[in-house]
Amino acid sequence: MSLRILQSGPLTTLQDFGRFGYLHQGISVGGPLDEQAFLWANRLLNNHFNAAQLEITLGGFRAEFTAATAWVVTGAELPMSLNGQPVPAQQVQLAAAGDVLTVAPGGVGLRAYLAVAGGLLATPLYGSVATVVRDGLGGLQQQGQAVQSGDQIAYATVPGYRTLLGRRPGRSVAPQLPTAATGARDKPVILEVIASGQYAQFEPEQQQLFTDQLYQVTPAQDRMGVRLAAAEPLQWPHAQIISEPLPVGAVQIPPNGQPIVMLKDRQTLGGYPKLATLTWRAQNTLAQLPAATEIQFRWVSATAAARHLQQVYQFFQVQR
Amino acid sequence: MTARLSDSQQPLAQVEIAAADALLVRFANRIDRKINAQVLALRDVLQQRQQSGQWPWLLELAPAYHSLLVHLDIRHILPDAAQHQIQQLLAQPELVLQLQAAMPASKPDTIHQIDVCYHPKLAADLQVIASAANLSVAEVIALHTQPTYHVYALGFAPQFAYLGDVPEPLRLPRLATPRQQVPAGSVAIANQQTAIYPRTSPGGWQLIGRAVSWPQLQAGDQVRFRSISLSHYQQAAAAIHSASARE
Repeated sequence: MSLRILQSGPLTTLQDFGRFGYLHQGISVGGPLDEQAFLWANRLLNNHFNAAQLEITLGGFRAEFTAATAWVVTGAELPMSLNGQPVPAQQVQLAAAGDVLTVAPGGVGLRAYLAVAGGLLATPLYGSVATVVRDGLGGLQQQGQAVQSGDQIAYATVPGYRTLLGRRPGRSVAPQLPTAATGARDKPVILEVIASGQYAQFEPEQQQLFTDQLYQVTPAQDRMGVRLAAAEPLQWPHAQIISEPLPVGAVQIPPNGQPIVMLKDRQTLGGYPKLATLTWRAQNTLAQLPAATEIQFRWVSATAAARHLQQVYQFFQVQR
Repeated sequence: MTARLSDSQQPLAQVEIAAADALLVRFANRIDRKINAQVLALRDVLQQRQQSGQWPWLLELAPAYHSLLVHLDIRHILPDAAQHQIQQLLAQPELVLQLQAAMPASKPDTIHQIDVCYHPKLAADLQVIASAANLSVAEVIALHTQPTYHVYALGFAPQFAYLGDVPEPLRLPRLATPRQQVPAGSVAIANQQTAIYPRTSPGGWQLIGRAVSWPQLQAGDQVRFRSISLSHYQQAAAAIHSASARE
Protein backbone atom coordinates (compact mmCIF):
# COMPACT_ATOMS: atom_id res chain seq x y z
CA MET A 1 0.00 0.00 0.00
CA SER A 2 1.59 3.17 -1.11
CA LEU A 3 1.37 6.57 -2.64
CA ARG A 4 2.53 6.17 -6.23
CA ILE A 5 4.06 9.42 -7.49
CA LEU A 6 2.93 10.10 -11.06
CA GLN A 7 4.39 13.60 -11.23
CA SER A 8 6.65 15.04 -8.55
CA GLY A 9 6.51 18.75 -9.45
CA PRO A 10 9.38 21.23 -9.04
CA LEU A 11 10.25 20.18 -5.48
CA THR A 12 8.44 17.65 -3.34
CA THR A 13 10.25 16.30 -0.30
CA LEU A 14 9.51 13.79 2.42
CA GLN A 15 9.57 15.52 5.82
CA ASP A 16 8.97 14.57 9.41
CA PHE A 17 9.34 17.15 12.19
CA GLY A 18 13.12 17.20 11.78
CA ARG A 19 16.48 15.62 12.57
CA PHE A 20 17.20 16.70 16.12
CA GLY A 21 20.29 16.14 18.24
CA TYR A 22 23.06 16.28 15.63
CA LEU A 23 23.88 19.98 15.34
CA HIS A 24 27.25 19.26 16.95
CA GLN A 25 28.07 17.09 13.93
CA GLY A 26 27.07 19.82 11.50
CA ILE A 27 23.77 18.14 10.59
CA SER A 28 20.89 20.50 9.84
CA VAL A 29 17.46 19.91 11.33
CA GLY A 30 15.41 19.89 8.10
CA GLY A 31 11.69 19.33 8.57
CA PRO A 32 8.65 21.29 7.40
CA LEU A 33 9.23 24.98 6.64
CA ASP A 34 5.63 25.72 7.61
CA GLU A 35 5.43 23.87 10.93
CA GLN A 36 1.94 25.08 11.64
CA ALA A 37 0.53 23.56 8.45
CA PHE A 38 2.46 20.33 9.07
CA LEU A 39 1.30 19.99 12.68
CA TRP A 40 -2.32 20.64 11.74
CA ALA A 41 -2.21 17.95 9.06
CA ASN A 42 -1.02 15.34 11.54
CA ARG A 43 -3.46 16.49 14.20
CA LEU A 44 -6.46 16.30 11.87
CA LEU A 45 -5.55 12.69 11.03
CA ASN A 46 -4.86 11.72 14.68
CA ASN A 47 -1.24 11.07 13.65
CA HIS A 48 1.79 11.39 15.89
CA PHE A 49 3.11 14.95 15.54
CA ASN A 50 6.27 13.59 13.91
CA ALA A 51 4.54 11.42 11.26
CA ALA A 52 6.08 11.91 7.82
CA GLN A 53 4.33 13.93 5.11
CA LEU A 54 5.16 15.37 1.71
CA GLU A 55 6.10 19.03 1.44
CA ILE A 56 4.88 19.99 -2.04
CA THR A 57 6.43 23.19 -3.36
CA LEU A 58 4.44 25.12 -6.00
CA GLY A 59 2.19 22.20 -6.98
CA GLY A 60 2.68 20.34 -10.25
CA PHE A 61 2.09 17.17 -8.25
CA ARG A 62 0.08 14.05 -9.07
CA ALA A 63 -0.10 10.78 -7.15
CA GLU A 64 -2.23 7.65 -6.90
CA PHE A 65 -3.42 6.16 -3.62
CA THR A 66 -3.00 2.41 -4.06
CA ALA A 67 -5.02 1.68 -0.92
CA ALA A 68 -7.98 3.36 0.77
CA THR A 69 -7.07 5.93 3.40
CA ALA A 70 -7.91 9.32 4.87
CA TRP A 71 -5.71 12.22 3.78
CA VAL A 72 -5.45 15.97 4.04
CA VAL A 73 -3.54 18.79 2.40
CA THR A 74 -2.71 21.85 4.54
CA GLY A 75 -0.58 24.95 4.04
CA ALA A 76 -0.62 26.69 0.68
CA GLU A 77 -4.06 26.91 -0.96
CA LEU A 78 -3.14 25.24 -4.24
CA PRO A 79 -5.87 24.08 -6.65
CA MET A 80 -6.55 20.41 -5.85
CA SER A 81 -8.62 17.66 -7.35
CA LEU A 82 -9.30 13.99 -6.72
CA ASN A 83 -10.01 12.05 -9.92
CA GLY A 84 -10.59 15.41 -11.60
CA GLN A 85 -13.18 16.61 -9.04
CA PRO A 86 -12.13 19.73 -7.09
CA VAL A 87 -11.58 19.07 -3.37
CA PRO A 88 -10.92 21.59 -0.60
CA ALA A 89 -7.63 21.89 1.24
CA GLN A 90 -7.38 22.08 5.06
CA GLN A 91 -10.06 19.38 5.41
CA VAL A 92 -9.72 15.60 5.73
CA GLN A 93 -10.80 13.63 2.65
CA LEU A 94 -11.11 9.93 1.91
CA ALA A 95 -9.46 8.16 -0.99
CA ALA A 96 -10.27 4.74 -2.44
CA ALA A 97 -7.63 2.49 -4.00
CA GLY A 98 -6.79 3.91 -7.43
CA ASP A 99 -7.86 7.48 -6.71
CA VAL A 100 -5.55 10.10 -8.20
CA LEU A 101 -4.79 13.36 -6.39
CA THR A 102 -3.64 16.40 -8.34
CA VAL A 103 -2.12 19.46 -6.66
CA ALA A 104 -1.82 22.11 -9.35
CA PRO A 105 0.33 25.22 -9.48
CA GLY A 106 -1.19 28.62 -8.72
CA GLY A 107 -3.24 29.59 -5.71
CA VAL A 108 -1.97 31.23 -2.55
CA GLY A 109 1.28 30.31 -0.81
CA LEU A 110 4.24 28.16 -1.81
CA ARG A 111 4.21 24.98 0.24
CA ALA A 112 1.42 22.45 0.74
CA TYR A 113 1.62 19.47 3.09
CA LEU A 114 0.08 16.13 2.09
CA ALA A 115 -0.48 13.77 5.00
CA VAL A 116 -2.16 10.36 5.12
CA ALA A 117 -3.64 8.63 8.16
CA GLY A 118 -0.86 6.86 10.04
CA GLY A 119 1.84 8.80 8.21
CA LEU A 120 4.10 7.99 5.27
CA LEU A 121 6.64 5.28 5.99
CA ALA A 122 10.37 5.42 5.24
CA THR A 123 13.59 4.33 6.92
CA PRO A 124 14.99 6.99 9.23
CA LEU A 125 18.62 8.11 9.25
CA TYR A 126 19.96 9.83 12.38
CA GLY A 127 16.49 9.39 13.83
CA SER A 128 14.59 11.12 11.04
CA VAL A 129 13.32 10.77 7.47
CA ALA A 130 13.48 14.57 6.90
CA THR A 131 14.98 15.29 3.49
CA VAL A 132 17.90 17.72 3.51
CA VAL A 133 19.13 17.77 -0.08
CA ARG A 134 22.31 19.71 0.66
CA ASP A 135 23.29 17.35 3.48
CA GLY A 136 22.49 14.26 1.40
CA LEU A 137 20.34 12.95 4.27
CA GLY A 138 16.81 11.64 4.55
CA GLY A 139 14.11 10.95 2.02
CA LEU A 140 13.08 7.59 0.58
CA GLN A 141 16.64 6.36 -0.12
CA GLN A 142 18.16 8.15 2.91
CA GLN A 143 20.49 10.12 0.64
CA GLY A 144 18.65 13.40 0.55
CA GLN A 145 16.89 12.97 -2.79
CA ALA A 146 13.69 14.88 -3.42
CA VAL A 147 10.65 12.80 -4.39
CA GLN A 148 10.79 11.62 -8.03
CA SER A 149 8.07 10.57 -10.44
CA GLY A 150 7.73 6.80 -10.14
CA ASP A 151 8.53 6.70 -6.41
CA GLN A 152 6.28 4.58 -4.21
CA ILE A 153 5.91 5.83 -0.66
CA ALA A 154 4.40 3.30 1.73
CA TYR A 155 1.61 3.86 4.22
CA ALA A 156 -0.50 1.54 6.34
CA THR A 157 -4.29 1.57 6.39
CA VAL A 158 -5.33 2.77 9.82
CA PRO A 159 -8.45 1.16 11.34
CA GLY A 160 -11.32 3.64 11.64
CA TYR A 161 -9.79 6.10 9.17
CA ARG A 162 -13.27 6.80 7.72
CA THR A 163 -14.33 8.59 10.88
CA LEU A 164 -11.74 11.30 10.16
CA LEU A 165 -13.64 12.51 7.09
CA GLY A 166 -14.38 16.23 7.10
CA ARG A 167 -12.21 17.16 10.09
CA ARG A 168 -10.72 20.63 9.77
CA PRO A 169 -9.03 23.14 12.03
CA GLY A 170 -11.13 25.35 14.25
CA ARG A 171 -9.68 28.32 12.46
CA SER A 172 -8.09 28.63 9.06
CA VAL A 173 -4.49 27.51 8.79
CA ALA A 174 -4.25 28.65 5.21
CA PRO A 175 -1.62 31.29 4.65
CA GLN A 176 -3.09 34.76 4.94
CA LEU A 177 -1.32 36.58 2.18
CA PRO A 178 -1.89 39.98 0.69
CA THR A 179 -3.92 39.45 -2.46
CA ALA A 180 -6.16 41.63 -4.57
CA ALA A 181 -9.10 39.66 -3.18
CA THR A 182 -8.39 40.52 0.45
CA GLY A 183 -7.72 44.14 -0.47
CA ALA A 184 -4.60 44.14 1.70
CA ARG A 185 -2.14 44.41 -1.16
CA ASP A 186 -0.77 47.77 -0.04
CA LYS A 187 0.13 46.57 3.43
CA PRO A 188 3.37 44.72 4.09
CA VAL A 189 3.30 41.31 5.75
CA ILE A 190 4.52 41.75 9.33
CA LEU A 191 7.20 39.31 10.50
CA GLU A 192 7.84 39.32 14.24
CA VAL A 193 11.45 39.09 15.38
CA ILE A 194 13.48 38.81 18.57
CA ALA A 195 16.66 40.89 18.87
CA SER A 196 19.60 38.46 18.83
CA GLY A 197 23.16 37.84 17.71
CA GLN A 198 25.15 41.02 17.09
CA TYR A 199 22.10 43.32 17.42
CA ALA A 200 23.71 45.49 20.12
CA GLN A 201 26.81 46.06 17.98
CA PHE A 202 24.89 47.68 15.11
CA GLU A 203 24.64 51.48 15.21
CA PRO A 204 21.35 52.79 16.67
CA GLU A 205 20.33 54.24 13.25
CA GLN A 206 20.82 50.81 11.68
CA GLN A 207 18.75 49.14 14.41
CA GLN A 208 16.04 51.70 13.69
CA LEU A 209 16.34 51.26 9.94
CA PHE A 210 15.94 47.49 10.32
CA THR A 211 12.33 47.78 11.46
CA ASP A 212 11.48 51.09 9.73
CA GLN A 213 12.01 50.07 6.14
CA LEU A 214 10.22 47.55 3.96
CA TYR A 215 11.85 44.55 2.31
CA GLN A 216 10.93 42.54 -0.72
CA VAL A 217 11.11 38.78 -0.73
CA THR A 218 13.39 37.90 -3.67
CA PRO A 219 13.36 34.84 -5.95
CA ALA A 220 16.71 33.85 -4.35
CA GLN A 221 15.15 31.49 -1.85
CA ASP A 222 15.10 27.80 -1.09
CA ARG A 223 14.83 25.54 1.97
CA MET A 224 18.12 26.95 3.25
CA GLY A 225 17.22 30.60 3.32
CA VAL A 226 15.42 33.58 1.82
CA ARG A 227 17.21 36.65 0.53
CA LEU A 228 15.44 39.96 1.10
CA ALA A 229 15.98 43.24 -0.72
CA ALA A 230 15.60 46.72 0.78
CA ALA A 231 16.19 50.22 -0.53
CA GLU A 232 18.87 50.85 2.09
CA PRO A 233 21.45 48.16 2.83
CA LEU A 234 22.11 47.57 6.52
CA GLN A 235 25.62 48.47 7.59
CA TRP A 236 27.73 46.31 9.85
CA PRO A 237 30.39 48.65 11.26
CA HIS A 238 32.88 46.06 12.50
CA ALA A 239 35.28 43.41 11.22
CA GLN A 240 34.22 39.86 10.34
CA ILE A 241 32.87 37.80 13.21
CA ILE A 242 33.98 34.34 14.27
CA SER A 243 31.61 31.68 12.91
CA GLU A 244 29.04 30.69 15.49
CA PRO A 245 25.94 28.49 15.66
CA LEU A 246 23.14 29.72 13.47
CA PRO A 247 19.60 29.31 14.85
CA VAL A 248 16.75 28.60 12.44
CA GLY A 249 15.06 31.91 11.66
CA ALA A 250 18.24 33.98 12.15
CA VAL A 251 18.42 37.18 10.09
CA GLN A 252 21.97 37.44 8.76
CA ILE A 253 23.46 40.63 7.33
CA PRO A 254 26.04 39.72 4.66
CA PRO A 255 28.53 42.31 3.34
CA ASN A 256 26.05 43.65 0.74
CA GLY A 257 23.71 44.66 3.59
CA GLN A 258 20.67 42.79 2.24
CA PRO A 259 19.33 40.39 4.89
CA ILE A 260 19.16 36.62 4.49
CA VAL A 261 16.69 34.74 6.70
CA MET A 262 17.95 31.26 7.48
CA LEU A 263 15.50 28.36 7.23
CA LYS A 264 15.67 24.74 8.34
CA ASP A 265 18.19 23.43 5.79
CA ARG A 266 20.69 26.14 6.74
CA GLN A 267 24.28 25.31 7.57
CA THR A 268 24.68 24.91 11.33
CA LEU A 269 27.45 27.55 11.68
CA GLY A 270 27.49 31.00 10.12
CA GLY A 271 30.02 33.80 9.89
CA TYR A 272 27.80 36.78 9.06
CA PRO A 273 26.54 39.12 11.78
CA LYS A 274 22.93 38.64 12.88
CA LEU A 275 20.40 41.19 14.00
CA ALA A 276 17.35 39.17 14.89
CA THR A 277 15.61 35.80 14.89
CA LEU A 278 12.13 35.22 13.48
CA THR A 279 9.47 33.88 15.81
CA TRP A 280 7.81 30.53 15.10
CA ARG A 281 4.83 32.27 13.55
CA ALA A 282 6.99 34.50 11.37
CA GLN A 283 8.98 31.50 10.11
CA ASN A 284 5.77 29.77 9.05
CA THR A 285 4.53 32.90 7.33
CA LEU A 286 7.78 33.50 5.47
CA ALA A 287 7.76 29.92 4.21
CA GLN A 288 4.66 30.78 2.19
CA LEU A 289 5.64 34.18 0.75
CA PRO A 290 6.29 34.40 -3.00
CA ALA A 291 8.94 36.67 -4.47
CA ALA A 292 8.04 40.40 -4.56
CA THR A 293 5.93 40.21 -1.38
CA GLU A 294 6.65 43.22 0.83
CA ILE A 295 7.48 42.51 4.44
CA GLN A 296 8.33 44.53 7.51
CA PHE A 297 9.97 43.38 10.74
CA ARG A 298 8.43 44.09 14.13
CA TRP A 299 10.10 43.47 17.49
CA VAL A 300 8.58 41.18 20.09
CA SER A 301 10.06 40.05 23.37
CA ALA A 302 11.73 36.66 23.54
CA THR A 303 9.41 35.81 26.43
CA ALA A 304 6.29 36.55 24.41
CA ALA A 305 7.60 34.49 21.50
CA ALA A 306 8.55 31.65 23.83
CA ARG A 307 5.17 31.65 25.60
CA HIS A 308 3.42 31.38 22.27
CA LEU A 309 5.69 28.51 21.21
CA GLN A 310 4.97 26.80 24.54
CA GLN A 311 1.24 26.94 23.81
CA VAL A 312 1.74 25.69 20.27
CA TYR A 313 3.83 22.71 21.37
CA GLN A 314 1.35 21.86 24.12
CA PHE A 315 -1.58 22.08 21.72
CA PHE A 316 0.07 19.85 19.12
CA GLN A 317 1.72 17.60 21.75
CA VAL A 318 5.17 18.20 20.33
CA GLN A 319 7.94 16.48 22.25
CA ARG A 320 11.47 16.73 21.04
CA MET B 1 26.24 33.61 51.14
CA THR B 2 27.70 31.99 48.07
CA ALA B 3 31.03 33.27 46.86
CA ARG B 4 30.86 35.81 44.06
CA LEU B 5 33.25 37.09 41.47
CA SER B 6 34.82 40.41 42.34
CA ASP B 7 33.36 43.32 40.39
CA SER B 8 36.57 43.89 38.48
CA GLN B 9 36.39 40.43 36.98
CA GLN B 10 34.56 40.06 33.68
CA PRO B 11 32.38 36.98 33.49
CA LEU B 12 34.05 34.23 31.50
CA ALA B 13 31.16 34.16 29.05
CA GLN B 14 28.01 36.07 28.10
CA VAL B 15 24.67 34.30 27.90
CA GLU B 16 22.36 35.68 25.22
CA ILE B 17 18.94 34.75 23.93
CA ALA B 18 19.38 33.46 20.38
CA ALA B 19 15.80 32.40 19.60
CA ALA B 20 12.52 31.72 21.39
CA ASP B 21 13.92 28.33 22.34
CA ALA B 22 17.69 28.83 22.29
CA LEU B 23 20.52 30.61 24.09
CA LEU B 24 24.02 31.35 22.89
CA VAL B 25 26.87 31.34 25.41
CA ARG B 26 29.74 33.40 24.02
CA PHE B 27 33.29 33.26 25.42
CA ALA B 28 36.28 35.56 24.68
CA ASN B 29 36.13 36.81 21.11
CA ARG B 30 39.04 34.99 19.48
CA ILE B 31 39.91 31.73 17.76
CA ASP B 32 42.06 30.05 20.36
CA ARG B 33 42.14 26.38 21.37
CA LYS B 34 42.20 27.38 25.04
CA ILE B 35 38.93 29.31 24.60
CA ASN B 36 37.49 26.41 22.61
CA ALA B 37 38.47 24.07 25.46
CA GLN B 38 36.41 26.28 27.82
CA VAL B 39 33.42 26.00 25.47
CA LEU B 40 33.70 22.21 25.43
CA ALA B 41 34.19 22.06 29.20
CA LEU B 42 30.99 24.05 29.74
CA ARG B 43 29.26 21.75 27.23
CA ASP B 44 30.35 18.78 29.40
CA VAL B 45 29.11 20.44 32.61
CA LEU B 46 25.72 21.18 31.04
CA GLN B 47 25.53 17.68 29.59
CA GLN B 48 25.97 16.26 33.09
CA ARG B 49 23.16 18.45 34.41
CA GLN B 50 20.99 17.29 31.53
CA GLN B 51 21.77 13.60 32.03
CA SER B 52 21.43 13.70 35.82
CA GLY B 53 17.98 15.21 35.39
CA GLN B 54 19.01 18.36 37.28
CA TRP B 55 18.24 20.57 34.27
CA PRO B 56 15.73 18.56 32.23
CA TRP B 57 15.07 21.62 30.07
CA LEU B 58 18.43 21.26 28.32
CA LEU B 59 17.63 19.77 24.94
CA GLU B 60 20.67 20.06 22.73
CA LEU B 61 24.16 21.58 22.94
CA ALA B 62 26.09 22.66 19.86
CA PRO B 63 29.61 24.01 20.37
CA ALA B 64 31.54 26.23 17.96
CA TYR B 65 34.89 28.10 18.17
CA HIS B 66 34.08 30.44 21.06
CA SER B 67 30.39 29.83 21.58
CA LEU B 68 27.85 27.22 22.61
CA LEU B 69 24.28 27.02 21.37
CA VAL B 70 21.88 25.73 24.02
CA HIS B 71 18.49 24.51 22.77
CA LEU B 72 15.78 24.61 25.42
CA ASP B 73 12.81 22.37 25.96
CA ILE B 74 10.33 25.19 25.82
CA ARG B 75 7.69 23.11 27.59
CA HIS B 76 9.73 23.30 30.80
CA ILE B 77 11.40 26.71 30.81
CA LEU B 78 11.31 30.17 29.27
CA PRO B 79 14.49 31.58 27.73
CA ASP B 80 15.02 34.36 30.29
CA ALA B 81 14.81 31.88 33.17
CA ALA B 82 17.29 29.54 31.47
CA GLN B 83 19.56 32.50 30.73
CA HIS B 84 19.49 33.45 34.39
CA GLN B 85 20.31 29.91 35.55
CA ILE B 86 23.31 29.60 33.25
CA GLN B 87 24.51 33.08 34.24
CA GLN B 88 24.32 32.00 37.87
CA LEU B 89 26.29 28.88 37.06
CA LEU B 90 28.96 30.95 35.28
CA ALA B 91 29.23 33.21 38.33
CA GLN B 92 30.35 30.31 40.53
CA PRO B 93 34.08 30.66 41.19
CA GLU B 94 34.58 26.88 41.25
CA LEU B 95 33.10 26.58 37.79
CA VAL B 96 35.15 29.51 36.50
CA LEU B 97 38.31 27.82 37.80
CA GLN B 98 37.25 24.53 36.27
CA LEU B 99 36.67 26.11 32.85
CA GLN B 100 39.86 28.16 33.02
CA ALA B 101 41.81 24.99 33.74
CA ALA B 102 40.27 23.20 30.75
CA MET B 103 42.94 21.98 28.36
CA PRO B 104 42.51 21.11 24.71
CA ALA B 105 41.93 17.35 24.60
CA SER B 106 45.11 15.35 25.12
CA LYS B 107 43.66 11.87 25.45
CA PRO B 108 45.56 9.48 23.13
CA ASP B 109 42.34 8.06 21.66
CA THR B 110 41.38 11.49 20.35
CA ILE B 111 44.59 11.98 18.35
CA HIS B 112 43.97 10.86 14.79
CA GLN B 113 46.61 10.42 12.10
CA ILE B 114 45.24 10.94 8.61
CA ASP B 115 47.14 10.11 5.39
CA VAL B 116 47.03 12.83 2.79
CA CYS B 117 48.37 12.81 -0.76
CA TYR B 118 49.71 16.23 -1.66
CA HIS B 119 49.88 16.00 -5.45
CA PRO B 120 48.70 18.48 -8.09
CA LYS B 121 46.65 15.72 -9.75
CA LEU B 122 44.50 15.48 -6.62
CA ALA B 123 44.77 19.02 -5.27
CA ALA B 124 43.83 21.68 -7.79
CA ASP B 125 45.26 24.60 -5.81
CA LEU B 126 48.52 23.08 -4.53
CA GLN B 127 50.75 24.89 -7.06
CA VAL B 128 48.82 28.15 -6.58
CA ILE B 129 49.22 27.87 -2.81
CA ALA B 130 52.96 27.28 -3.20
CA SER B 131 53.47 30.30 -5.41
CA ALA B 132 51.18 32.53 -3.29
CA ALA B 133 53.20 31.56 -0.21
CA ASN B 134 56.45 31.82 -2.15
CA LEU B 135 57.38 28.28 -1.19
CA SER B 136 58.16 25.01 -2.96
CA VAL B 137 55.52 22.28 -2.95
CA ALA B 138 57.78 20.28 -0.64
CA GLU B 139 57.89 23.18 1.81
CA VAL B 140 54.10 23.53 1.66
CA ILE B 141 53.76 19.83 2.50
CA ALA B 142 56.27 20.11 5.34
CA LEU B 143 54.36 23.06 6.80
CA HIS B 144 50.87 21.56 6.47
CA THR B 145 51.94 18.24 8.06
CA GLN B 146 53.81 19.94 10.90
CA PRO B 147 51.14 20.95 13.47
CA THR B 148 48.93 18.85 15.66
CA TYR B 149 45.59 20.34 14.68
CA HIS B 150 42.70 20.94 17.03
CA VAL B 151 39.09 20.28 15.97
CA TYR B 152 37.37 23.55 16.90
CA ALA B 153 33.89 22.72 15.68
CA LEU B 154 31.81 20.80 13.18
CA GLY B 155 29.53 22.70 10.84
CA PHE B 156 28.89 23.85 7.27
CA ALA B 157 28.00 20.29 6.27
CA PRO B 158 27.58 16.95 8.08
CA GLN B 159 30.87 15.90 9.70
CA PHE B 160 32.74 18.89 8.25
CA ALA B 161 35.40 19.58 10.92
CA TYR B 162 37.13 22.94 11.26
CA LEU B 163 40.78 22.26 12.17
CA GLY B 164 43.35 24.80 13.31
CA ASP B 165 45.76 26.29 13.31
CA VAL B 166 47.38 26.42 9.90
CA PRO B 167 51.00 27.70 10.04
CA GLU B 168 51.28 31.42 9.23
CA PRO B 169 52.82 31.15 5.72
CA LEU B 170 49.89 28.99 4.52
CA ARG B 171 47.12 31.29 5.77
CA LEU B 172 45.52 32.09 2.43
CA PRO B 173 42.01 33.42 1.83
CA ARG B 174 39.03 31.56 0.40
CA LEU B 175 38.60 31.50 -3.38
CA ALA B 176 36.82 34.56 -4.76
CA THR B 177 34.39 32.23 -6.53
CA PRO B 178 33.59 28.93 -4.79
CA ARG B 179 33.86 25.71 -6.80
CA GLN B 180 30.62 23.97 -7.73
CA GLN B 181 32.14 20.58 -6.91
CA VAL B 182 34.91 19.78 -4.49
CA PRO B 183 35.68 16.03 -4.48
CA ALA B 184 35.06 14.10 -1.25
CA GLY B 185 38.28 13.71 0.76
CA SER B 186 39.73 17.00 -0.44
CA VAL B 187 41.93 18.63 2.18
CA ALA B 188 41.60 22.38 1.99
CA ILE B 189 42.75 25.57 3.70
CA ALA B 190 41.15 28.95 4.43
CA ASN B 191 43.05 31.44 6.59
CA GLN B 192 44.01 29.71 9.84
CA GLN B 193 41.67 26.77 9.22
CA THR B 194 42.02 23.50 7.38
CA ALA B 195 39.43 20.77 6.75
CA ILE B 196 38.57 17.60 4.90
CA TYR B 197 35.46 17.78 2.69
CA PRO B 198 33.55 14.70 3.91
CA ARG B 199 31.49 14.44 0.73
CA THR B 200 31.51 15.95 -2.73
CA SER B 201 29.97 19.40 -2.40
CA PRO B 202 30.39 23.03 -3.43
CA GLY B 203 33.22 24.73 -1.58
CA GLY B 204 35.34 27.87 -1.52
CA TRP B 205 38.49 26.72 0.31
CA GLN B 206 41.81 26.19 -1.50
CA LEU B 207 42.54 22.52 -2.18
CA ILE B 208 45.92 21.40 -0.86
CA GLY B 209 45.67 17.59 -0.79
CA ARG B 210 43.42 14.54 -0.75
CA ALA B 211 42.75 11.98 1.98
CA VAL B 212 41.69 8.41 1.19
CA SER B 213 39.88 7.81 4.45
CA TRP B 214 39.32 9.68 7.66
CA PRO B 215 37.63 9.02 10.98
CA GLN B 216 34.51 10.75 12.22
CA LEU B 217 35.89 13.69 14.15
CA GLN B 218 34.44 15.41 17.21
CA ALA B 219 35.04 18.90 18.54
CA GLY B 220 38.12 18.77 20.78
CA ASP B 221 39.84 15.92 18.87
CA GLN B 222 43.44 16.30 17.65
CA VAL B 223 44.56 15.55 14.11
CA ARG B 224 47.94 15.03 12.45
CA PHE B 225 48.36 14.74 8.70
CA ARG B 226 50.95 12.41 7.13
CA SER B 227 52.08 12.88 3.56
CA ILE B 228 51.74 9.86 1.27
CA SER B 229 52.80 9.40 -2.36
CA LEU B 230 50.45 9.37 -5.32
CA SER B 231 51.00 5.62 -5.84
CA HIS B 232 50.32 4.94 -2.15
CA TYR B 233 47.10 7.01 -2.45
CA GLN B 234 46.04 5.14 -5.58
CA GLN B 235 46.64 1.74 -3.96
CA ALA B 236 44.70 2.72 -0.85
CA ALA B 237 41.87 4.21 -2.93
CA ALA B 238 41.70 1.05 -5.08
CA ALA B 239 41.59 -1.14 -1.96
CA ILE B 240 38.68 0.88 -0.56
CA HIS B 241 36.93 0.82 -3.92
CA SER B 242 37.16 -2.97 -4.26
CA ALA B 243 36.12 -3.47 -0.63
CA SER B 244 32.98 -1.38 -1.17
CA ALA B 245 32.30 -3.16 -4.49
CA ARG B 246 32.20 -6.46 -2.60
CA GLU B 247 29.59 -5.23 -0.13
